[in-house]
Amino acid sequence: MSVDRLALAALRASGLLVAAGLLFLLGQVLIRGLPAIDRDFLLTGPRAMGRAGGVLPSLVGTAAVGGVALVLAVPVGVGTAIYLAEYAREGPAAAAIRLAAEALAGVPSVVFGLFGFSLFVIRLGLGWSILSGGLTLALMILPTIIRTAEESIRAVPQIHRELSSALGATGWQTVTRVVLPGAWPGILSGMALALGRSAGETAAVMFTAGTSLRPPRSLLDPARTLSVHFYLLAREGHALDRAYGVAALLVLSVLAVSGAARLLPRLAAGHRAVAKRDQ
Amino acid sequence: MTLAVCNLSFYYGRRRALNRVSLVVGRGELMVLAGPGGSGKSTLLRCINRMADGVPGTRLTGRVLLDGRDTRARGADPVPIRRRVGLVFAGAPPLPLSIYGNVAYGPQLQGTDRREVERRVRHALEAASLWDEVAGRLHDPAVELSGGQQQRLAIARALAVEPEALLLDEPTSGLDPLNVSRIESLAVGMRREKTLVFATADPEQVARIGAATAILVRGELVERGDAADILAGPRGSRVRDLLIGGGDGR
Repeated sequence: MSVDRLALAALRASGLLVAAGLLFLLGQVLIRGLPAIDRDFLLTGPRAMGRAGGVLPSLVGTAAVGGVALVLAVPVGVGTAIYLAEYAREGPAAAAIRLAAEALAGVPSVVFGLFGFSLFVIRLGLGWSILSGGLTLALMILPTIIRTAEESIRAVPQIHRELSSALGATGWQTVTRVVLPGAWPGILSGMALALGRSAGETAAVMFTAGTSLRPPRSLLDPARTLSVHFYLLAREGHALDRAYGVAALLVLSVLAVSGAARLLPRLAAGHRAVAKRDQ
Repeated sequence: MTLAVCNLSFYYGRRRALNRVSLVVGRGELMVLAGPGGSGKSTLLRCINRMADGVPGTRLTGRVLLDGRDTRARGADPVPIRRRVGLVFAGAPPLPLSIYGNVAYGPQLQGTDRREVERRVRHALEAASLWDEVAGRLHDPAVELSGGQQQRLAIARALAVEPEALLLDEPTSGLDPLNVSRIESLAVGMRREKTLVFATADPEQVARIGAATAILVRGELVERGDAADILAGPRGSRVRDLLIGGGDGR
């Protein structure tokens, strides 16, 4: 066998290994978890500390904490990305911002948890709450939002900016009318990535949003997110079927979010084209 | 508008792209700026409407005057200058918008009301002799137009801003003869209303347009005069060599 074919076989094998690993993991989680998921599981609260009953409060808590994190991180993150890509000259200021974002990405999540606990929960008096958890997660997902937004902003062809300026657009008009619409699909998929990350986060949320099993009624109420719920159930060890149910739900929702993020921009683009033809 | 370039030099880092260029285009005049590829035509046009400004690593000396006012006077804003002096880029793609959206873009930036925008779009498309071809599909994506149509769309897009001067950077490069002659007659037809600069690398085009012509080679103006004069006799063959040979035959 020639070296070329050997290399090809090795590369193909690594690809298959990745696919097999994912399939095995997904299969394991879904086979053991899906039987636990039914109407009651989704629509009722837990009983006996989660050994029986459903996960509705955790589902709500996960969505709320992730939603708060996105609402806080997206304006700041996209704003930073616009600044870095469109306005900042390469220099100490831009380098410092990039370094900060990279450093933020490298901080272990348990450290975020500790930081969020001491700042938001204790110092600012927000207690264990959806707001504290959302603030902490916002900091965690900021680097993802910044990086994906900056990449998609830079991917907008330079000639579009020049055409816009040559027609008398101010810098900000060019950003809002040409750059952001062009970068929007990439920003959206970055948001989905970030949402997936916040849904899967355990350590940072446990310290800041708490572990309460009661349904949250406001942003200042504590909440036990799905991953925290899963962690606590799995650690107990005697509710593994429920734990797998939670894991399956978590995996499915993350897949759904990232699938939606891939589909939405295409659907939106298709819809726009159709709407324009219909005018 | 009278457009005057005085002693303009422009540097990309250490490389000098324009060397002490001076020229005047009067109200209602058409000037052909001819030069081989890389001679600095695009740079000169970009300097005129301040599109070359502010790019890191570049430097500009000299002045550009519009009706005698310095475009780079202290505190002068480039945005109104770009609205007064339109620039059509060489072979640029359309904006990722509909045909209508492309032409309406400039007027919309200025907060023009919808009726007026519609009027200007129609007027500009007619002036660019594109209206008849696109009237029934104004809201289709502009990228679906052919190359020649896209180039006329670019002219319409610039015209919709109602500039006093229009700079056309090789507006016919890569087009078929029919579209070339359409755009040439467009330019000649517009000369009464606008101050026009038409950049080209093609000596035959210089002859066809037959206007005041300046020859730019390696960032320097080496010849100027009426097309008929500078293309005639031994001087003409030298000019043709400059344009075709990229200035190496000097």
